[in-house]
Amino acid sequence: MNSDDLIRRCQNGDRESFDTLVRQHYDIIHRIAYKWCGDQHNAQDIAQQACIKLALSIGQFRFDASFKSWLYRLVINCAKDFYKSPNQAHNRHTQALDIEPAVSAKMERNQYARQILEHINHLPSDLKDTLVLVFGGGLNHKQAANELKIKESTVSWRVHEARKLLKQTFESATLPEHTTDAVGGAV
Amino acid sequence: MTNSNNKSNQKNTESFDSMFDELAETSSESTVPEPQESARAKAIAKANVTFDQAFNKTTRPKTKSTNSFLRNFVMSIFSKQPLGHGISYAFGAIAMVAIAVPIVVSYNSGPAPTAIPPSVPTDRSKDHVSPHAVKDELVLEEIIIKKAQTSIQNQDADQGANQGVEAIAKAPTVTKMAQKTGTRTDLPAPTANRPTLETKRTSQNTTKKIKATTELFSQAEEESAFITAQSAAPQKLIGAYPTPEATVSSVPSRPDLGEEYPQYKRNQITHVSDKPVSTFSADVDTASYSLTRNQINRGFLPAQQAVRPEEFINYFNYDYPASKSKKQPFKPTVYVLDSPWNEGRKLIHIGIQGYDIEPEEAPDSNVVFLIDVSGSMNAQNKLPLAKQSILFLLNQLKETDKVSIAVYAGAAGVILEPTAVKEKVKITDALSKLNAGGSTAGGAGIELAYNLAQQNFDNDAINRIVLLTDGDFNVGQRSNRALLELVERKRKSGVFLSILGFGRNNYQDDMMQTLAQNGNGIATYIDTLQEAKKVMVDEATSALFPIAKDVKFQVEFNPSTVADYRLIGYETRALKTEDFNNDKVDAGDIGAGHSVTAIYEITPLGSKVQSVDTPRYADNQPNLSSRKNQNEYGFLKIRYKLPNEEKSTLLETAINVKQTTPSSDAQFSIAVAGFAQLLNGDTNTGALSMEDVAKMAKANKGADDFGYRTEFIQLVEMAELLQKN
Repeated sequence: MNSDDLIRRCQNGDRESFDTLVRQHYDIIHRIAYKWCGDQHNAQDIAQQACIKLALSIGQFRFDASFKSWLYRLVINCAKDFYKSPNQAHNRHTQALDIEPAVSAKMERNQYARQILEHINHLPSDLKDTLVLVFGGGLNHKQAANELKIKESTVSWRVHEARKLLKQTFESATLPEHTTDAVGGAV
Repeated sequence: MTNSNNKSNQKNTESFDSMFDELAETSSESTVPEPQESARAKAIAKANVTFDQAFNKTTRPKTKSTNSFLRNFVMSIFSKQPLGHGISYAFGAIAMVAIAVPIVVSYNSGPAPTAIPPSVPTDRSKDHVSPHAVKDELVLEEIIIKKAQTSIQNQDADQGANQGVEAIAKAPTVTKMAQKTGTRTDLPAPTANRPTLETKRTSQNTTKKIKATTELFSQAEEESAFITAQSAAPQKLIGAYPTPEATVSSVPSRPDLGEEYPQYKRNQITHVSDKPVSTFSADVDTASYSLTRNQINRGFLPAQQAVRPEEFINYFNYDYPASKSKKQPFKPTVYVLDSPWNEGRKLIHIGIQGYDIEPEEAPDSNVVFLIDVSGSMNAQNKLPLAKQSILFLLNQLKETDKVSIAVYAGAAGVILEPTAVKEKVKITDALSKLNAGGSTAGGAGIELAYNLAQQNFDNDAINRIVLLTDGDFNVGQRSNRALLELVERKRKSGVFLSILGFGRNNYQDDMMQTLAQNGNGIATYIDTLQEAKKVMVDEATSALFPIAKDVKFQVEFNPSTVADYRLIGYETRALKTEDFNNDKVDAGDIGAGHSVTAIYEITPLGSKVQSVDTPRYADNQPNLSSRKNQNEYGFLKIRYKLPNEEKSTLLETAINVKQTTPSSDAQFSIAVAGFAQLLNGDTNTGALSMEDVAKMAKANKGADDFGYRTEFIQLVEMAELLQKN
């Protein structure tokens, strides 16, 4: 059966379909979680939370976006929540954009990766769907193209576009404070 | 500090590429290890168990109308027994998730109604949590979360199931806030396995609890059936037209807070025989339009959910005939014309124009500027622009008006006590000292600002908080709820709230919108100096002076003349039919000089494009013999309160079938409506293209003194290009 049907069956309470759905998507869930936190142990915890959350939220998928993109957001949110609980104290101090130089290299790397992963959520849907497959699914461009039913060159173009957009976002966000108070020199 | 910022900035830009490549696994050497088989199996098992519990333990019969009534009713039961703050939110949320999910899923497939909480938990904050922001209640909630997490990892699934049901039975409270804004399933892994704070129970007790819960549900069902029956006979409320036998479908209620954007289901064509009455709140926010403009100008189309047509339409000024008297702050103008999008359909174009305030009549102002100075406000288009916006507004205020400034970042503080505008140097001095740094503690800041406003509360003045932020409400989900509640409480004290958003993107767009709605205020998005000028100079009186609050619209369509209707936009402002007459239900405010436009597209009865045949056997046939009814498409009612009143006034007017020629302004507004629908993926605009929109806009540009309309036309043309890609 096609994937939409599978999801619908899940929404109707069909256990076996749900089992199939989770098995099919565990890898992508784990991969996203791993990219978020960079360590296997936490990634597995996050992945488990996400699977549970999937069980609870599957009824609310409205077929108005790609399932994997919806899933992506679900996993990212689980990952964020995971780091907010008190037993993950080492993540308390990290700031989104003003990165303290004293922070260890790994935390810095994680910080950065997370911002990028988070920003994917805000991309227009065609770019987002593509990136979710590449980043989350670990697919190469050809495989992604097959799944999306578009040309491989389109996938490459989209990844390139997304990279541009994301980069722009990062660059505009980290401009240092200027000494003049007003914009454009006028007061 | 600046030096290291510079260094890390550079470093960030360079390492962006390498990070991106790493995430994209460009080298095609996967850096992601295989998940351990045991972890995989465990996750799948737990998910299956959760699924079982959610879907099979609490099945309810599938009746469409039970849905939102049931949910609302259950919530109202709970709200009768108030508990402590933090606990109530935690339990309320747990209860709601546990109840809401089975209800949602007891339906057949198909899109879930708007009233259901979003599928993915909303996460308000970015990675960092300010250690300063942790308060007792937050700690309590975190304890619950921690326990939940450890229990998920350690517990046996069966035990978990029982405890989960206990949680449902025990959960006593959903505060009014949760009810209003819908459920927020932001707690991590809110599963049926989540334990209560109490220790284990005997299985006897558990069975009792399950039974109690079941009884609760069936009681709720009976009640909701009763409610359904009542609503099916709305003659008491309305009564302008004999209503055909109505099957009440789901009434959209106040929206849930969704992800970054308010999640809503676009208004579909509604059949008059199903639901003859349409009710919604006025809205003069414009953030959606500015955000969209910002994104299109940066080369990409906005997300569909980000496009709120009413905010596009209401961005522009239209010169509808205004009311002369303050007692009736506005009057409605209604146009009926052929739909430019669908042959055989018509548009009912409703505009209200608030009266403007002459400078010499301007009331006094007591303004508190609350500025977000957290690290994320560092960008050129944020804090500096925010400061400039304040300076602009300062120049519009009277010398005797009072201004104070508070800031919030890691903590909140007052940097300027209430000062008369006359002492401009003192004020600009305080502003110039502001720098960004630290993380955000929005909640504390807003509380402080309200205290400041109340400290200097002037009964004869307009007391207002202007919040300037990039929306990074980094205080965690619990505090967001507390924040909304605070704002709502304070609104009752007579302080208005305006929210100015700065910076890129859409972060917390829905949070800001909801805050403004709850706080009697407007939400705008300022991305350029021009926009700052528009809001703070050209439209300063609108921003400062409300002329009416809690403005609600209600249209009853005449089944004798109208087959179906569709309201364009206002999905996030939908109200229940009974909310219209209920003065306790909050709605939008209108500032001086504001206009509000609402457009319905209708299919007149008998039109060749009618999608559903006129009911043949309905009990109340359209009253074709009454001449009065044949002349009317519908009846428009508007309720509003004057800024100092708590009791609303009613305005009403019939909507005649007679065609009218819309003003040029109104036509421009229709072009804008078309544009918004094209952007948000609406399927009801027929063959309309961007080119058509541009043409119509150009033809009705008018004098365009401020250039906003020209800018709109350029935007349309850019959007057209972007769509082609």
